[in-house]
This record gives sequence, structure tokens and C-alpha cells, in this order.
Amino acid sequence: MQKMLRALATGGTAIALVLTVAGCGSGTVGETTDGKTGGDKPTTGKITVETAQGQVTLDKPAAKVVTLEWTYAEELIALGVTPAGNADNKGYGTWITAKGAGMPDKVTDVGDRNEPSLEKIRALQPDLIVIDNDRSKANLKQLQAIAPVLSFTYTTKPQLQTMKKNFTELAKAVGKESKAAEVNQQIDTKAADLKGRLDKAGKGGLKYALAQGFTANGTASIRMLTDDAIAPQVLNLAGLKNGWKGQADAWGMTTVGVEGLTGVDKDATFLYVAAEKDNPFTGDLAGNAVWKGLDFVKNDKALPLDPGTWLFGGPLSAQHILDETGKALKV
Amino acid sequence: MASEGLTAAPARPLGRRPRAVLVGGALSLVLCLVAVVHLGLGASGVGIADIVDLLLGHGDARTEDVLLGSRLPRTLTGLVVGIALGVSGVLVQGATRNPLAAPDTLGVNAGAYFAVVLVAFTGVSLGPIPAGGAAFLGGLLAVAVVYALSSGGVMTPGRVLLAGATVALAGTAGAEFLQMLDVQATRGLFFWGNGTLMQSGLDRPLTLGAVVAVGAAVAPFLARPLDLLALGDETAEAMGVRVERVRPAAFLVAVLLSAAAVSLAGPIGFVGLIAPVVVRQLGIRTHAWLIPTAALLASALVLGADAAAQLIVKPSATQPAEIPVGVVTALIGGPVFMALARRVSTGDADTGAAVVVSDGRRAPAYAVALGGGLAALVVAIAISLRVGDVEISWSQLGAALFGSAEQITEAVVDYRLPRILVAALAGACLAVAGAAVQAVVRNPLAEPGLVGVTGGASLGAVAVILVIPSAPLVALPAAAGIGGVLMLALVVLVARGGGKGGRTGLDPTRVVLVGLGAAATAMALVNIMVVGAQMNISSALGWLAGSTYARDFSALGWLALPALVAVVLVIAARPVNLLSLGEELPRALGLELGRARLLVLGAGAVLAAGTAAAVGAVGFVGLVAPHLARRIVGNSIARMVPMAAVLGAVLVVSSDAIGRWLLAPTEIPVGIVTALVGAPYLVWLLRRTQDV
Repeated sequence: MQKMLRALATGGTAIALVLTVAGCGSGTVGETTDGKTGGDKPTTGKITVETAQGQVTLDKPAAKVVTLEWTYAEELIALGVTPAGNADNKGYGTWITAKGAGMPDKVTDVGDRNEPSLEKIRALQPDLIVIDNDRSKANLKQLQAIAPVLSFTYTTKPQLQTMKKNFTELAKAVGKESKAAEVNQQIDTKAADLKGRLDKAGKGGLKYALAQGFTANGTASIRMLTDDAIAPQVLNLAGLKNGWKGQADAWGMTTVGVEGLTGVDKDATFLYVAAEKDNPFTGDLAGNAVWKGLDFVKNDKALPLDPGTWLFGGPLSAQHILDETGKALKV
Repeated sequence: MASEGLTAAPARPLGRRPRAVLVGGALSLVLCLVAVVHLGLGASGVGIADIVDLLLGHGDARTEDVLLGSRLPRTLTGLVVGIALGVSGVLVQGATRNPLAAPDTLGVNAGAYFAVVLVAFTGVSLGPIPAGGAAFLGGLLAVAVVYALSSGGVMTPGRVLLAGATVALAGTAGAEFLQMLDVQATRGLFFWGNGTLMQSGLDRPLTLGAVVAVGAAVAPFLARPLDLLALGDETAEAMGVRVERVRPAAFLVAVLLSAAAVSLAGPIGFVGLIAPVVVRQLGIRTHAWLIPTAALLASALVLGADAAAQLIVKPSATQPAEIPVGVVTALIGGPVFMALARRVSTGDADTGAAVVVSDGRRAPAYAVALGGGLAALVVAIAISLRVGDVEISWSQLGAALFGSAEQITEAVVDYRLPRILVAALAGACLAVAGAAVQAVVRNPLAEPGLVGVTGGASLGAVAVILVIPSAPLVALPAAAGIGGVLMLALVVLVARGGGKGGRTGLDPTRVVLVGLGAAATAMALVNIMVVGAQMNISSALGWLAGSTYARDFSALGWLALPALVAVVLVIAARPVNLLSLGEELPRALGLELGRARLLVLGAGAVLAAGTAAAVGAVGFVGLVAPHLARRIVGNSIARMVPMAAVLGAVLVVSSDAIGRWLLAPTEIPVGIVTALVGAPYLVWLLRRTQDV
């Protein structure tokens, strides 16, 4: 009974706090670690991190971090910090193969990204949890009771800048700010390098379209990336020009069928990512009249990128896109 | 059975042919117009004028590419799907003599859909024919289950439809389960799961079109026997129809056709239902004319709905997504179904008194049964407390309960205990909700989800997520609860209005049928909102499927009102009991039947909507628990409801534990587990009822 009452009280406090945070947007989420950390005063915190749920204050850099979204796992690995736990390691391994972004085997899998196992996370006794703000509706208060939570929004425009900012804030929390600056710088360096090589090859300012494709019940479904999305923003750094002007959804994509591809600018080179086993561009669409009639197909300018190129990732994925594009364009 | 206006009445020999020709001609014209409009719509901006130019010999190569690679496949798919659904609708309605029967309302579409998702899940890439074969088997299995479910008792239209809806629920839950197991492998199936005509070539529509052509060619041979069947089984027999052969043959062809449609375009609801009904309303009665005219109308409906979907979200390359055509047909079809159900006299009020339970004599004493149930609940809770992806021993568990365990054990118990209690209370409330609905509807297959309550709750919740994304957490369950109750009010209003010849009050089965239509419309609206808002589909699916994930003690507060209602229901046991006695007897005993039904149904709505608010859409509990309880302690509400509550609690607590343990650390939402447990129970149940 006593325990139940205590849990009830904790739950109540958490709700009140969540409401406060939601209401005025300036609550200190670190406060919800009541009881567990024994009377920490947020005001004495040495590190203050900006998150989607307001400021989070930490006493010292976190060492044991659990990541519940692939992008932030990638960012952590880019900082040289191995997560203590991560959601859906298998999916991570399949979709993110950028150099240096590999997930070490010892990282504990804590389950699905939407409903990760709270028990498993608690058992890891992390001192920091990183989540995607859009996926955290159900479990935020429970996670905050385990450890301070950094929740980030990925899709805020402009996405590249948002990614760099989130990455820097995450780096602050693990005491690796200079490393973050270094990695962020690498994106620009890589882009400048690619630009130089493109210019030398006479391909400077090349027009492109970037797509991710898969089939659903035998019919191609294609995601076209607009300049709202992070991947084209990275490519544009190298002087490339996006030849897709469709309307973007929250993630910066337009989902189209084959007929929609007629909207790609005529002189664009078509760069695409598709799983090896499920490649609509070489399979399902190969015999389609619209596809065969597209300028970039006729001119042999539909080029595959590495299937493990994650178009919605962090700084390593961003660099991977630049590398792969250079490779595909043969510069 | 059904009212005269809607049944497949026998052929009237004179004066019908000219009308049929007229209607057929008009429909052909409409179809041609719709097809032309449909051909002119698409992302590339190629209009019908360009296509006409091309056909006149002076178009460009691009127009030709678009026509061959995109427009023709899509329009042809619409035609094939329409013909398949229209013809199969006529066959099913003719074979069952039920104007509300159709491949989708009998669960065929859901069975086929499940089979196709299963194939996608295994990652095997099959050609259109093997995939269609899988869909055919899935559809056949669904029909077999529906047949078995409804043949146990009086075969009334309402009963068959309830069985169909139940099977459809199970099939859809299974498909959702697979989608959740591997979001990446089945991604895109969400849209396809709502029906889309999009194709990337002529191969698939042509191949499956050939299958449909074969099926449609066989159908006319069934026309004459089906005409006679409309006179009733015995008359038909007397006139030389071999009913036991004709009926399965009609079903077989119908399943073949709708499986082809599902594997081509996904489940597209209500077309197979609306087309034959409308054609019959236009005065065409003989199957020889019904079959072709319904096919024409169904094709026009499918193409028209797809054209409408493309016009709502303009088909330029600049739109982020399109609306699946099945959503549009459900949006149109739901209200039509409600209107039809309102006019159909179900004939079920007395004859369909199917809440019959026999085993009273073998039942153990009530106290023993309830005690046993409570013991089972305690065991289930204890096991559930242990099960999960962090290992806890019995001794650690014991220590935790007395507050002397290690921190981690205590923390884990802190997660499990509240959600187990929420699961138990939710299960109890759902079971009582089921008991209430069944008491009114007097059908053991009635389920709160079928009365539209759950659909309304989902609609409320998703609307809040959409309109006020920053709304506090409590807004979600509140909106769900309000949505559920409002939806039931609407259903009751619609169902009430249809009384014929001064018969007022609620026809029990009609309430469920209207509820089915309302639920379909609600889900169509939810889907449009999900697509339109580009919502995170996996998290939306998770909520809609029902989940106890991360629930804490505050969720118990949401269940307080439903729990109170449950208690009231037990106290008011006597009038509720009387409801199960049909129409005349309760009246004679002085019960105001209409008001009593409304009150009990309202109680069921509060129970179901309140639970949906706390844990989302958890199905089958309201169906299984009351039924089991009735078998154990008999029909008396005062005994049956507490027993059902305990069993419901056991069921949901165990399902929650299974969902946490089976694929740990990945969780399976509890609603999916209850559906997967509930479906086999139904099959077992009907095997049992046959030997009683």
C-alpha cells in the first residue's frame, strides 16, 4: 500500500510538472528526477542543455546514455560515446551504414523506437536518455523519472541547421562540445571538397533529384526529397542544385508514384536509395513506359547510392551522402 | 428476412426488360464518362485533351508514355476491381438473401488482406497470381469461419453480419500485428491497406483482370438458381435448384473475385455492397441483369471515388501524398450502410434471441466459480508481475511487495504494477460493456467495438492530436471518451428512426448494423486525417491498436467512472435480465423496453468509451468474457456480470503479459494480443455450440 501511495504521488507530481512544462514552456525537466537523485538543485547544475521540452540541467557530463532514436544514436557514436542502450539495433544496422556509425555489439537493445522497454532502460541505470520529441508522448514522465531526458525535434526547419544544433546540445551533455564542432566542420569540409572535385570535372552546379524508393504490394512508392529535407541541404552545400520542387510533408518529402517523376526537372541527375532486395527502380519500374520515357533514364542518369545511406540521419549520414554522391557522379 | 424493397425478389416476367436495358445503358454511359475523367487525372498534368490529341494521331511521346505507364494501368485497375466487387456483391447477396452482405461485410476482404500482408511480411516477392492465390485462401478461410460462426443458431441476416464483422476485426488485427512486427518490411501497406489503384504497369491489372474475367463469365450460370433461391430454400429445392451446391458455388466465385480485387488494389470497402443494392432499387431484379449492371455501377463507383480522391488532393506532383481510394468508398459507403440498416427489418427481435446458454445444469456453484475466477486473476497478476525483459525471481518479487527489495526490482515492479492494474480494470470494464451490449442486442457476437463506440473514440483522439498537437496528455483520453459516447448517441438516433408502422424503440440488431456503418465512416475519417496530416503512422497505429504501454496510476482515474457504471449495472440486474426475454414478455411485465434498452446501451457506451480512453481500442474482450461467464454461471445478470468482469480482467492481464514477454524488449500492443487470442476462441466456441 505504501509503495502504491508513493507511486501515486510520484505520478501526480510528474503530471503536474509535465503540465507546467507544456503550459509555459520553461520548466526544468531535470527536476522530475525527484527522490532518485536525492535533492539535486537544478540551479547548481553545471551544464544546461536546450531541448524541445525546455532546458535540462546536468551536474556533470553524462557517461551512460540511452538513445531511443537512430539519429541521436548516430550522433552519440560520432562523438565517440558508445550508447549504453539503443532502440532497435537491428533496424539501425540495416539502414545506417555510414563510415564510423556502426553500432557496437555490446549496446543493449531496448526495443522498439515507439514503445521502448522502460524496465530495460531502468535496469541500465543511465544518466541520460535521448529521445525524439514526436515519439515521446506516452512515456515522457516515466523516462524523466529514470534519468534526465533530452528530447529533440528533428524536423524543425531548416533541418541541417537543426541537426547541427541538436548535435551540439547533445555533445554538451556528454562533455564533447569540441568534438561536435569538429564533426560539424567535417560536413562543410567534405562538401567543399566535393564541390572542388565537381568543378574540376566540369560538373559544378549539377542539377539532381534525390529519391528513396520501395515497393508496396508490387507497386513502386517513391519519396522525393525537397530542399526542406536535410539530405538535399547537405548536397546543396556542394553547389549541387535540387531539381525537385514538390510540396514537402513534415519530413521534407513528397511521396509519389511513377507518374509523379515526370515532375523532376528535365536536366536533373536522379540519385536514389533503395534496398537491395526491394529496388523498384531496377525491378518494378524497369519496364514501365513512364519510367523509360523519363529524361534521366533515357540519358542513363539514374544513379544508385549505397542502400545503407540514411537520408534522415545525423552528421555521419550527412557525410556519407556526400561521399556516395561523389562516387555516383564519378568525381 | 429483409424488407421487400431490398431483397432479391423473384423475377417479374412482364415489363422488366426495357427498364433493365435502360438502366444498363445509362450506367454504361456514366461509366464511360467517369473513366474518361479518371484517365485525365494524374500527377504529370497530362489532361484528357492531350490524350484525345494522341488518339487522333498528333500527340507527343510523353503523353503516350503517361497513358501506357500510368493512366491506363490505373483506370484498368479500377475497372477490374469494380467488376470483381460488383459481381461478387450480387452473388453474396443472392446466396444469403441479405442486402447488407458483401465480401467486405462478411470478412472476406479482411481475410484476403491478412493473407497478403503475411506474404509481404515473409519478404517473399510473389507474382500477382501466387499472391492472389494467398488472398483467395485467406478470403475462403474467412468465409468458412463466418459460415461456421453463424450456422450454429438461427441463420438471420444480422447474425451472419455480426459474424462477418467479428472475423473482419480478427483479420485486420492480425494484419496490424504483422505490420507492427516489422514496420520497414510492410511499410507502405498502410496506404495499400486502405485500397489504392496506383499501379506501375499493365501486367498486374491484366493478369488479375483475366482471373476476374473468368469469374465474371461463370457468374451468369448462377443467375437462374439465385433467382429461385430468392423464393426461399424450400421453394427453390422444389423447383429443382440444388441449394447445397448453388450456395457454395456462388460463394466460391465471389471469394475468387474479391480476392483478386484485394490482391490488386487492397481492400476497398462497401462497393460490393452498394452497387447491387442501388441497382435493385432502380428496379432490376433478375440476376441475369443484376450481375452486369452491378458490375457497371461498381466500376463507376470505384473510378469515381478515385477521381474524387485525386480531386480533393490535387494530382499534381507537388502534393506530398494521396488519399487511398478505399477511404473514400468507406466514407461514402458507411452512411449508405447506416441508411440501409435503418430500413431493413432484421426480423431478429424475437427469433434471433441468440443469447442462449445451455450448460446451466453442469455449472458449479456461483461462489466456487467466482472464487476460482478471482484465484485465476491473482495468479495472472503474480505471473504478469514476474514476466518481462528484466528477470525478477519470486523471492525478489515477494521482497518488493513488502518494500525491502533492491532498487531495480522495486523500479520494475513500479512499472508493472500500475499497468497490470490498469489492464485488469480495463478488462473488467470491457467485459461488462460487452455484457451490456449483448443484453440489449441479444446476440453473443455483439461487441462494443461493433456498435461504433471504439471508432468514435479513435476519431475523437486523432482529431485532438491533429487540431491541438500541443494539448496536454489528458486531452487525448478525454476526447476519446467524448467521441465514443457521441458516436453511440448518433447510432442510436439513426437506428431508432427507422421503425416501421409505428414500431418504435430500438431493434437490437439494427443498432449493431448501424454501428458497423458508423464505425467504418469514423475509421475512414481517421485515415484521411492520418494521411492528410502526415502523422507518424506507427505511433498512430500503436494507439489505435490499444496499448497499456507506460500507463501509470493516473490512468486508473479514467476507469473510475466506467467501474462505477459497471456496479450500477449489477445492482439494476432485474430489468437487464428481462431484456433477454424478447419483445412481448418484458412489456407484459411492465418494463419500458425502449428506455431500458437505451439506458443499458448507454452504460455500455460509457464503459467502452472510458476504457478506450484509457487503453485505446482493445477488442474481443467484450465478446469473449461475457460469453465464457455465461457458460460458467448462467444467464442471470447479477451473477454473470461479476464473473465476466473477473474473466475480462484475467484475459487482458494475461494478454498484456504475453505482449510484453513474447518479443521482449519489443512490445506487442495488448489489443492485438486479445484479438489474436479471441479469434481462435470464437472458432472453438462454434465447434462447441454445434454439439450442444
